[in-house]
Amino acid sequence: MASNLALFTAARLRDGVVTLVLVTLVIFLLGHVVGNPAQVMAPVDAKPEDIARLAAQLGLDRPLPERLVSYFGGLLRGDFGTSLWQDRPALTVVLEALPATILLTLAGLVVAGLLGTILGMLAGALPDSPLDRVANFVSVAALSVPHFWLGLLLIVVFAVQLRAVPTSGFTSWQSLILPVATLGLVHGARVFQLVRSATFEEMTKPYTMVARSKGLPERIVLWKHVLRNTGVVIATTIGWEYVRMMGGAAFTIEVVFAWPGIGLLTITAASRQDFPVLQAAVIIAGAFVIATNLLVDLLYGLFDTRLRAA
Amino acid sequence: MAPPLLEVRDLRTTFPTERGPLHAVDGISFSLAEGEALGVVGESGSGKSVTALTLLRLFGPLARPRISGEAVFAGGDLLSMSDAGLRRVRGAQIGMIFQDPMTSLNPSLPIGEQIAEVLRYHRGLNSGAARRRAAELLDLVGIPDPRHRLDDLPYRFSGGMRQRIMIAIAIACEPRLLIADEPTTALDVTVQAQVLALLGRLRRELGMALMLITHDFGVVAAACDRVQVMYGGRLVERGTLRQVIERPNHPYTEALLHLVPRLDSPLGERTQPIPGQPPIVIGSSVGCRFAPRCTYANERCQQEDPPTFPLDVGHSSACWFANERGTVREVGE
Amino acid sequence: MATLETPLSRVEPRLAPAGMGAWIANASVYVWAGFLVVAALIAITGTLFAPYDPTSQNVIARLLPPLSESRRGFHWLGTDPLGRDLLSAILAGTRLSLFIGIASTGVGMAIGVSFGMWAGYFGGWVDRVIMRLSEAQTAMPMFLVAIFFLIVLGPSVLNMLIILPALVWPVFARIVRAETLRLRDQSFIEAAVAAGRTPGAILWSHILPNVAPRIVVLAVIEVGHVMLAEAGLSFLGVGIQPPDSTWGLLIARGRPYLAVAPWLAIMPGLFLALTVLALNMLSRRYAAVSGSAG
Repeated sequence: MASNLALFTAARLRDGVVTLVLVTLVIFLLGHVVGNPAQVMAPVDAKPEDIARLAAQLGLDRPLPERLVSYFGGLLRGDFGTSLWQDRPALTVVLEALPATILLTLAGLVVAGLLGTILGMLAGALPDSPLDRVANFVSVAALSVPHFWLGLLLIVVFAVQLRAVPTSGFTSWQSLILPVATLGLVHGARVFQLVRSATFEEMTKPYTMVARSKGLPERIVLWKHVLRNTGVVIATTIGWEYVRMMGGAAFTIEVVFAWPGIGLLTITAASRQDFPVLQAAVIIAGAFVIATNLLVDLLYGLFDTRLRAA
Repeated sequence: MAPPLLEVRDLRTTFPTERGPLHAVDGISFSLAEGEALGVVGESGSGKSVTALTLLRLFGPLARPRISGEAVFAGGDLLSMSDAGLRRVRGAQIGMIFQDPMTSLNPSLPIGEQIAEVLRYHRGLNSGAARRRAAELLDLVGIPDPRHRLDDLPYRFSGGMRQRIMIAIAIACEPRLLIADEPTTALDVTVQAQVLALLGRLRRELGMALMLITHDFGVVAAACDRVQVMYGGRLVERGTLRQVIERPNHPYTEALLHLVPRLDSPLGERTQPIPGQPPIVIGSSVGCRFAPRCTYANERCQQEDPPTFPLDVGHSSACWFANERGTVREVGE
Repeated sequence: MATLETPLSRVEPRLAPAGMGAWIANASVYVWAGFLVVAALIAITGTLFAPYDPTSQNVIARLLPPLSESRRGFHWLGTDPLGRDLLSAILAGTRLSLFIGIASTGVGMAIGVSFGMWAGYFGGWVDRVIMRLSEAQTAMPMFLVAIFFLIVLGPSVLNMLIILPALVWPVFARIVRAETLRLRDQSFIEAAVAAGRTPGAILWSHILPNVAPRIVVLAVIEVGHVMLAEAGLSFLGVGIQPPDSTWGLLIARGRPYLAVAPWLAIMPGLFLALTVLALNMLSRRYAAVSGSAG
């Protein structure tokens, strides 16, 4: 049993590493082979000769295999190049922005998890009730609207009109409210749908009727008996939702709310034509997503083996 | 005479469907005395299980039937009681065990907890006392080494043992009535006998009444004092065990009895299932509901619904031929 | 006979749904479908129905709120800082938004369905390679890679049409592969093989028609997803660039004026939201109706 787990972990780790290598390779191909870093970094009106000269300066005219090796060598050493705009190691710039992203996404995940689980269980236990119909519609709507637009809408309503919260930036803990609400709504919607259907299915199983026949009130049947059985599904759904969040939505939200995380950094670096920081941001963010994916995978595997032993 | 423990009058349970109202239970009345064992017999679809579920109003989130009639239990009408009141009755005054022990227990909760929660909720025991009592109950129902098995999950027990655990849960608060819905159907024959013996023993020790729902007359014969036969949501025959088994009147009862394999039947003779299917009665129906499958049915049976004819003390039957058949047929022991 | 005799298992005819709820559900299908038809019409006819030329500036009538009048006429949705009519701009953006969404999904679908069928039918190393590719891509932060791709190679419609299908093909591949595996072992396939038909012919005329319904439902949903992705990329500035226009770009253009003229950013988003909502509602309804019938 333990060796099975070890094998499983090892296999997943291997997959994670392979994916990371793949991502860095793709970044290299896109950035250095198909695209031209010199072109990205050069002024907009630069002439081809200027770009070529810049490329030579950056050592971009070396043969491809040599550049590939130096690229990977640099990554492994932690050398992601130097930021043009801040004249510091690109990696440092990126790592400074990482905590803000983690804070935002974790807070968003907590809200999404709570919202989705509580409403999902209630809706699953009371199918076709007004609560169910409304929550269902809202969840479909939340998944249909552009999340950045939703963020803008919330800004207009709560920050501009009602002046209840700051419009953007990271000035105080209140700055968290709107971006977290946006993430929580959008990702909570999917959690809701899954929890609802899982709960509904459990409620049709005989043991819930038996629990009721014991005289237990409905709230105990739902929150004690059913939750015991849906808990694993809920936890893994939330885990996957975090991966999805990191994979895209979080960064656009950062831009909408001027939240100083990796997403905002990426776009800012792009606008400043700072290729090293841009490349570093994408790689580090990618690594983070892959690591999270791996973690959720491992947790799920852990639960699964425990369940299977049971 | 003491008032009956349970008195049911004109119970009707109707489900709204796209094709019309489905009359799962269509006006049945019966009573049950303290400590008495009543067998409710019929095939699937006769309405016997729905009767039990109606008494405790145990329908799930999707099914919302219309229920009418009265079911007076220990002074209160179960059908019009508040939800809070009904919850006090469930598990404490009326216990219920279900057919499939594999799916009736929560797979993720230790069995000790599934018993203890009933005790904590209804009797207010603290967790230590509830645990001890749970172990005693497991011992009572014949689970070996109960104290060490309290924290085991249901998957560690066989079907027969799980059914015993269900029984332990149902009798934990020493209810006055135990409803058993096909308790032995999913079990091996040998285990069936053990479970029935257990039920009988518990009945005697706790003075509990029993309502035993089954399609198998063999089970009824082993455990019940009185019998009532249901078909198409109605009661077609009722009487004491001897009356119904030795002198069955209604053709359906007779057919059901023939399904029970007998020691003195010729070797190789197979029991014939009753041809046809029990009806799902949607909307109104005309005539006796058993007529389509009845070997004796005549035109009157198809046109007019037979009333209940009394045959003997406590024995009655709803068949147009009741009085003709009453004393003629003798089915041996 | 040995089943727990609960009404749930016995009552095969569906329990009667609440009258009002069913009516709303049915009527709403027409509403959503109608909305999509109108959107498609607008996309096809271009600016024919636009009240004004979306690029014509009228600085005097700048930043007017919705339902206001200017010398030119009535502005349903107001004007932007250069006096351009917002409704016209939104209508003009419809074409490219829908085109990119549908075209990208189409390409992704073509790739995904082909890969899925090959993987499911041939198995072996083809299957392994395709599945590894699909898994690797799903594990990657594709949106990030898309951003990087567009920054480095330059934002353009063509590049969008390259990267957006990449976001979407694994979804199709997975489902089609599962369906193909299921169908592969059925006797009508064996018969075709015995009759000497080539794998290509079998895939095309036997397997594809059977997976088509599921693909259509999936495609409708994915068009919505792709449109949202395009809007996100254009909003970030790495997607469509002026003078082209999509709803995402319009939202970005309106963003700096959020405090004084919120309608500039909100209205285009509303159109996008309604379109994707219509797609989602229709496909959910279709799934609900066909699921219970088949």
